[in-house]
Amino acid sequence: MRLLLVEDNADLAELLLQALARHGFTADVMPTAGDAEEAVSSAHYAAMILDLGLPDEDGLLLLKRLRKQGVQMPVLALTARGSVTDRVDGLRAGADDYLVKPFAVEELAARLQALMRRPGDLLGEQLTVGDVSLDLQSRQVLVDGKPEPFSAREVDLLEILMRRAGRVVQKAFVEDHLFGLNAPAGSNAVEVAVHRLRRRLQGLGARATVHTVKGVGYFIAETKA
Amino acid sequence: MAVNFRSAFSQIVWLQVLAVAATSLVMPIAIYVFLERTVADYQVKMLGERAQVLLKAMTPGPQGRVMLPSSLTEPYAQEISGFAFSISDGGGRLLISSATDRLALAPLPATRASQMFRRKTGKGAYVGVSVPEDFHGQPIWIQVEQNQDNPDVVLDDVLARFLPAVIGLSVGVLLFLLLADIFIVRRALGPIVAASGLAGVISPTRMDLRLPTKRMPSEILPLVEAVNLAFDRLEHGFRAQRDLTADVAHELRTPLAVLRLRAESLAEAQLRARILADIDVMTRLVDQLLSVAELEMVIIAMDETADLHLACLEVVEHLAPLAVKQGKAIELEGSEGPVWVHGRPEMLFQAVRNLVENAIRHSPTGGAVTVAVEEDGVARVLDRGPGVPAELKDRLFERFWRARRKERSAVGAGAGLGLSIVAQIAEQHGGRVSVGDRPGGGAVFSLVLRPAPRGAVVG
Repeated sequence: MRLLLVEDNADLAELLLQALARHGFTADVMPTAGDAEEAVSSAHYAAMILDLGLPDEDGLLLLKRLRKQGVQMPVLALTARGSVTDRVDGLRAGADDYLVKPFAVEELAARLQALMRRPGDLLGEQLTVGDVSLDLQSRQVLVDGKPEPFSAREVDLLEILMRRAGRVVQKAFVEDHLFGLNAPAGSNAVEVAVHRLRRRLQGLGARATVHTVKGVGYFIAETKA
Repeated sequence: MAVNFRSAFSQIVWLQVLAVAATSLVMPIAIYVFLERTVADYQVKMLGERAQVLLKAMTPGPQGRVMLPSSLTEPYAQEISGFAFSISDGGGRLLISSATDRLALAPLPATRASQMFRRKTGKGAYVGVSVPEDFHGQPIWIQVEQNQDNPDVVLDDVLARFLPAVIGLSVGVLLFLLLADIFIVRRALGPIVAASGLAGVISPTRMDLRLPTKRMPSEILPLVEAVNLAFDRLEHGFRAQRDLTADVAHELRTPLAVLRLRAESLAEAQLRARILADIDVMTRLVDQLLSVAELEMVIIAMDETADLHLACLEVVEHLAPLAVKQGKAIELEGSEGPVWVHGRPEMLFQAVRNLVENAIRHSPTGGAVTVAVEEDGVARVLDRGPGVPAELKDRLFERFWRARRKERSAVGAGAGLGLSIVAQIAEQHGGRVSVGDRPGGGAVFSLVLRPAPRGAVVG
């Protein structure tokens, strides 16, 4: 996967190249907006990492221009500016993701991979957390590679939580999507369902745990080692 | 007696009262005296004319006496007319008089010049005049007098009625003037008083205020303009400081990124982990510096409102996975519906987040952090950590407060700016933050904000 790295700081560019290489990416480095624009028009790249603080032009202006010209390549903006307004401006200008310096290379790599996933993947044929994977078409759940029986309700709940793996899903949201119009009386139904799912996963020794955040909701995450 | 007046207004009022009182006294009296003089002069003139009439009608009589036609003397003889006369010679011997007791009306003057006299008897008060004249070569004195109590004598009655009336009138008018003056002065001083009040409101969170110059008296205007200029410089200084802080923080980010990348490539795992942790501390500090700089110039409008419950919910949602990863739990309790307060949502979020991050940092493994929202606009963050010693409770919220090692371990080196940002946000919202002991162990951080009416403008 060839990337375009637009960065004017030579040290940073070199270190990034090395780090990206470790994660299986190769990249061309362009130190100015002008060079970047030329590179984009003359070669094809899987994605662009764009530092917004360039010497000859604001990275956002370059990005807006490229988008206007019809460049659809995924762009991850890299910057020292991290306020909410800056993020919003970046995303509005056409960035697909926004990373504030300094950052962990792990995160950069993960986000790049997320950006470059093909549309089919984004729709998610399969969800994975830890060693639990859910096939959305067949509604089959695999724990550590082995298929395990789960009730339809449990699968639905797993889907809701795994779609937002690592982030909290509010109780009302779970209630709406799990029971829909058939919501049983009393708010205990969700609690009970979550409790049962948690026990089930624990019983199977799965490396994914369902957590309750009292007063807010629930989330599923890879079990802490 | 020198009285020191602290207030221009009271000084003006008191001195005016004195002036008015003095005028109220002096004016009527002066007028009265003048009028009285005028009346006396008129009376003297009138009596003097009568004396001349008598003189012209006098004829010499037997034994050196004088004679007057009875047509002239009769009115004098009647008491009802109120007039009387007597004519004496130069030596004081009575020549003729209208009085029944055959005495001169009054003692003769020592010098040969007209003189007025007054006398009072049981029959009334008399005003008279003694006029020296020549009669056939002999010096004589003609005295004519009039009874003031006679109903025909109007002038003195008018005068008597005049004085209380004019005093009453002048006091009334002057009092009215005094009140009008007070109103006028109040009005003139109004803009100054208002400007003073406004000046008291200016603070770092309200640096945009300037004193009004419209309607400002020209005497005070230079002062007000000088004050506004001073505020301009102050605001400029604050902005410059804030911009410097922000610029420095931004500049630090790229070197930190370079440092981090280099550190990530270190082979030795333990060293790498430690250095990365240190870099994270530095990064957080840079983030906080920028926060502080941005917050410094924020002005929250009177009608901006935010939902405190929502802010707490978002914080808990945001930090729950992080807490769990550290082996700690986090929960939300309290009011279930919106809790409206005056303020800005993203700032509330930041304040609560900093408090919760701090609580998580100090919670023991397996411990839980509780965020409680109360309907009257209070958010509390409770932990089961070591708590905060009494003497540190206030200093926690200072910037970069330096702790001795022992204290630092109790509160944590990572405090940095986080809590001072909370204090700053609380202040800008017209609220406050404080820390107390939690029953059963741990600390309770309370963020108290100003409740607002239901859902006004949402920021």
